[in-house]
Amino acid sequence: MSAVITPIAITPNQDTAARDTFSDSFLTDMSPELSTAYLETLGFCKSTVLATVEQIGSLSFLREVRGGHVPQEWESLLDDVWVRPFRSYLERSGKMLRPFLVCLCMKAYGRDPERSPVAVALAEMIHSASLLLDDIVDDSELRRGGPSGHTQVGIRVSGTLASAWLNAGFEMLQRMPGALSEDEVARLMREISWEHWVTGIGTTIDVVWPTLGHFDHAPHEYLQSVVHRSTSYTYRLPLKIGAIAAGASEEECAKFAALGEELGISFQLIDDILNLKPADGHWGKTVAEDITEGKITLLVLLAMQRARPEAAQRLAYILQARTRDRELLSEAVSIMDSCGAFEAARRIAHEHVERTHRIVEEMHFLPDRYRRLLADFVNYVVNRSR
Amino acid sequence: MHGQSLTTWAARFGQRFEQRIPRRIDEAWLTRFVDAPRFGWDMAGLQVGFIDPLYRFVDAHGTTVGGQACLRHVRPAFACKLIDALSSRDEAVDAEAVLRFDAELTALELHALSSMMLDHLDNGRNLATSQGAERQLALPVLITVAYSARQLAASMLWRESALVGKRARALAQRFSRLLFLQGIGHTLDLAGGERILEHGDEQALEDHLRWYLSPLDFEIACELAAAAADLPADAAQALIGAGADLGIAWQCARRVQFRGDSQASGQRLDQPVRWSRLAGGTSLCEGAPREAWLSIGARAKERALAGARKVGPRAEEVFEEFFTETRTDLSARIDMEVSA
Repeated sequence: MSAVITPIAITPNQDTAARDTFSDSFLTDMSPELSTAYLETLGFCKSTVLATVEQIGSLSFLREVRGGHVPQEWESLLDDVWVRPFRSYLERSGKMLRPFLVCLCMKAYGRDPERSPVAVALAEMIHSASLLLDDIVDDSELRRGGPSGHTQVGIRVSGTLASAWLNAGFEMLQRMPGALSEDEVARLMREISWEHWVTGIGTTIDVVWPTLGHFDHAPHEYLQSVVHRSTSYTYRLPLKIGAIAAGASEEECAKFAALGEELGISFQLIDDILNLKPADGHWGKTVAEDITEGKITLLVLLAMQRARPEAAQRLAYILQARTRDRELLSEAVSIMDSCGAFEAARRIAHEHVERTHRIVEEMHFLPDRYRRLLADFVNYVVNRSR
Repeated sequence: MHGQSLTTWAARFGQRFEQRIPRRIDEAWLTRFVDAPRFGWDMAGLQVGFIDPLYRFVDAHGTTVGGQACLRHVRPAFACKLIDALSSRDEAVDAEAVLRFDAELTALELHALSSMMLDHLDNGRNLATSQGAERQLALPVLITVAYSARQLAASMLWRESALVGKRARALAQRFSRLLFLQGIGHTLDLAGGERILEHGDEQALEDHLRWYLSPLDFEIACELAAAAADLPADAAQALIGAGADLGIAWQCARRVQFRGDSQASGQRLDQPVRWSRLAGGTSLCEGAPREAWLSIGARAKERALAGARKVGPRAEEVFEEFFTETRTDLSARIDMEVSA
């Protein structure tokens, strides 16, 4: 057993930097200032994340963390089972928005992200691990155009590898702290562990409601579940990581967390709407997956409250049918539309977007440029078309 | 015997566990462990989606001792016994002084429960082919309960530890790392099992076992006891190493004694064993290399006792009693008895 943890350095390979593997069409949705700032960090973010995964996925790293007690036979499995399914998620994403947020926070405080690469890598690794778990509970066959983790290695293996990568941050923070102080490492670990746990509570509602067979949940209960589900890994946790790694005070960190939470709620509500009604008005190849999966979203709950009883009953029937029939999916959307559920959901989403902007305005402790970049980032997230 | 038996400590801890995670949660509990509600919880949803399934496993799963009595909470019970032995200045048992570490003890139990919840599932390529022996819960719910239990354990240590300062931080850090280590071990174990990989020799199998739930959990139990008793660093390290070896020995004995008897053991013991062939080509699950388990287990037991001895006679006594009470007997006699 290794009693003393030796800090090691992450060496990002800038040559592997990133713009070759993703479509950058989304950059047109960003303000020029934001896209410039984003592109400045993209190469560093991607190479840091991949270098970290490579390091943690090596036999030598495992030997180090378990005092040499690693069976040689594991070598043949390591890349195939432990690293490749996870790395494939990271490589498919490309955007690296979460590491970018971490860099943004650190730079706002004059901290150099390259001196604490672990904080940058963490945000994306946790997000990707959570996607592996999401794909299991949603039984999704595809993720970003490629096979989901469990279709490659099985439900249990994918679950345990996702759990390990999700918790890899704890090992990374202790072994690769970079310029982070002991206190910052402890604060990060404490916050990450809380976020991991409350995400389970939020997800509980998401997965248990469709099994209960009734739809009379309150809209505010859905919002509460969103606070502890999608808000975490999307924006609240990356902003917390960035703030703590930047050396922000407790009070300032709380502001970043509030911003992430509010943005996460806005994002989820808009995502729910776009899933059923894309901004361009056209359904693509995959449509209304939320209805096919029987998801009970804010839209569904609002429709259940507003629609005539027979229409509500019909909507419930379609949700329980787990159907891909376009006519039925279209009928469900039409029921939600005609009773004003979309309009009501948009109003609620708008309130949260407004709150998000107000929080950014109140972050007087940040230099103007960074407040502007955060505001632009909020606009980018809430105004995307799909 | 020093102090109370594992069974007594398990019963005491069981009561404390139910105080920390009540069978019926309310808003005060959620506010304490999660956060004050911004919009309002669906309490009924969380009850049926998390707490009820959690207690289904708390109530159903334990460790069979001698195929008869069911000792639940074996990890926390061992930790209690060790804390009591190392911390008390006399023979009088001060249960409250031990149980004040209930956050740490609960974390240990949650971690073990979380792993057991998923033991009965198959490694299918979709949910429909992974249901395994699970008949009551939809898999997305079961998987989420297991996930939540594990992560609650880590969060509880960061936020509710009875230890203070650096000791609290060190234990929380080690526990958080444990989730990572066990995740890797379990991933490679399952994948290796599916591919029927072979171990080269007994040492390789022993190294493999070191990444299992039990060695990792008993390490943490020992680290908690060391922190609670304020042991010096070298004694703490000896105790933690002994904990890992105790976990390996216990694991080996259970393989031999309860193999194939999942109802008795509470786990499907045949599952991870599938890949553990040794040189010579005989699969462990086919019965012949029982000797391999016995010899690895016996060596680990010896090392565990030697490690505990370095800490002092009380620690050694607790380890001895653990092996006796859990019938972690790795002698040929037990082997024959079970065979018969």
